[in-house]
Amino acid sequence: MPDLNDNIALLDNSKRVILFPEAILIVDPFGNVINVDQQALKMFGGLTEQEIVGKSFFDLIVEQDKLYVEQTFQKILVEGHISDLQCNATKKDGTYLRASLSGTLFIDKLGTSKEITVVVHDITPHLSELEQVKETQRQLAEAQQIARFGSWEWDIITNKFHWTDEMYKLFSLEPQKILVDNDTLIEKAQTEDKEKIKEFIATSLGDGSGILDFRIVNPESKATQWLHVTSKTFYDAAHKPLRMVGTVHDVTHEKEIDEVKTQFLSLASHQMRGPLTTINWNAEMLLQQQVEGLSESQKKYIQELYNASKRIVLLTNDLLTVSELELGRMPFKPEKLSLSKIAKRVLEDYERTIAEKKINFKETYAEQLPEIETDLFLLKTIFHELIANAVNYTPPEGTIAMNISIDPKRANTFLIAISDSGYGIPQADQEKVFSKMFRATNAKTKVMGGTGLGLYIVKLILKVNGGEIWFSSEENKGSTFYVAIPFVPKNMDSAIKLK
Amino acid sequence: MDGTNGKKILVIEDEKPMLDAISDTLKQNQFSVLTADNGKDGFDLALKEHPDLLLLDIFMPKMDGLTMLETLRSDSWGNGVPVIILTNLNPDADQTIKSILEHKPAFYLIKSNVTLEAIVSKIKEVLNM
Repeated sequence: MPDLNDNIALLDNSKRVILFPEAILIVDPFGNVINVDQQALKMFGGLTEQEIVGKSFFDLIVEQDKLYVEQTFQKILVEGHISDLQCNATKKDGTYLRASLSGTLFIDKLGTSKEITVVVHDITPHLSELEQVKETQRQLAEAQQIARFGSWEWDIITNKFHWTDEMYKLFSLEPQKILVDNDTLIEKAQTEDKEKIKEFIATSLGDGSGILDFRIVNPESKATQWLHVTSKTFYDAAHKPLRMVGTVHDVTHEKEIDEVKTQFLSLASHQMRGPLTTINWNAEMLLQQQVEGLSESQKKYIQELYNASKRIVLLTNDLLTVSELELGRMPFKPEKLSLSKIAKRVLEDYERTIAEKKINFKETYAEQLPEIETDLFLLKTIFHELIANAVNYTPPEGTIAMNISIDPKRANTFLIAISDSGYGIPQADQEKVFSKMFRATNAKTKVMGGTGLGLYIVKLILKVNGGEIWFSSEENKGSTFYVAIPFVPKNMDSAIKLK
Repeated sequence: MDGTNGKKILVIEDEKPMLDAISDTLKQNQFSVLTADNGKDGFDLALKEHPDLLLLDIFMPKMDGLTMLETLRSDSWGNGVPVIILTNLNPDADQTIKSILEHKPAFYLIKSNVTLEAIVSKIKEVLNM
């Protein structure tokens, strides 16, 4: 048994380091309070020492628990110790507190005097925390239901999955009735999208996160639903994946709106071409023919109108290309072509500008390049966008180098590299370069009429054909864009359906 | 020859400003020019006048350009006459046109992307002038 002297030290508040909010009371074997610490006075709602010392400790306990607590206390005298005796106690203001009691018996050296040290742990906050968690969970479930938003968690170590109720509902499953895993996702996805889910899981494991839109067929309505899934992976110090969490969101409506929007864009662009043609042809006639009474400055004004109109034509063409690609309506007819011939043919369109700007344009082609199999229009578009960017964003007397070779790193792949000594892309803008309608902050001020669609188009084309695009760039030094394009197109079947 | 180069071009186009721009340009380049503003009249005129080449729009009243072309190709003379389709439809995005283009001598130009000068060059190229 511990010595009584130890017990006195316990109550010395000046020496006690209050790391935990336990209260200490010293009672005699009958339960009468001999001494208390400050924490105890506080815990019971601001009692004074006079209000408790000399009274029965059991008076603090609510009626329902009193007998049980008294009996359990008897054990201390026999066994010397009890722990975690849970009961409800009353505070000074009449409210309750949930207490966990521990008691230890102290005996003096003669063995005659006995005291019990009671440590009271207020566990009320724990209970309300639990309730708060429950409340939060309820709110989350409600929010998920309203938003048609599910979330999931995968414990990779134990291979256990947790889906929220809404996750089950998104897949037309009864919540929490069956065990789910990654195969459930694959099984539910539309046939064409099953591979994409496998890729999504692999990417999420490797890269730390993933995003995918895929389709499922609603078993009742037979309608196609679009689901947007995201993920985030957590790793240990050795980069071993431990846990993956993510969300699934029904984006069917958004997809429908998106499609209508793109169709509208396509239609509007077609319609704009008519009036633009009339403007262009009439401007051309005014400029090319000896129209009587037209002064030099009037001719200059007409030239400006003509230039502006031609820029709208370019924008319209880009918008049409984007909408056809996005709608998956762009025909893809692969044929055998010579990369260098196509590159040269496209380059012809820029010869005048290159000469006007006194740009030093160097072309190098590796010897004996095999033929490429791809769609002519799309290949020409890739060259158009890359060369136009280099030419437009390189100041007069700059240098551009185009190099076509076999990719040393990828099998059966060409590598097209176009570097310029142009304005470059500011570091802060670099990650957005391939987004739709993006133009670098410095480009906007230097070159009029860029559409911000060119690189986005190249990216879309490479998605159809197979291939990659990347770049390196430094502001005011220049940029190099690389396109890796396979000898023969990949995913031939996906060419029709891009989305 | 009355100041012309001896080649007769039939322009079938329903939009007056475009029709005028093309026919004026062709006349300035010494072509004889016939015009029609719909596919039906264009077809009748073609069979009657047997032009050397047709410039054909697609979207037109009465008979659209594609129907007209198909009808024309079933005629013994019309089967061989060169046709340049002048349209603002993107042929790369339209399988119908693409299949038509695989018929006999037919070429296409996208109006908003070509100059009148380029149209004249194309005509001369097709007619080996």
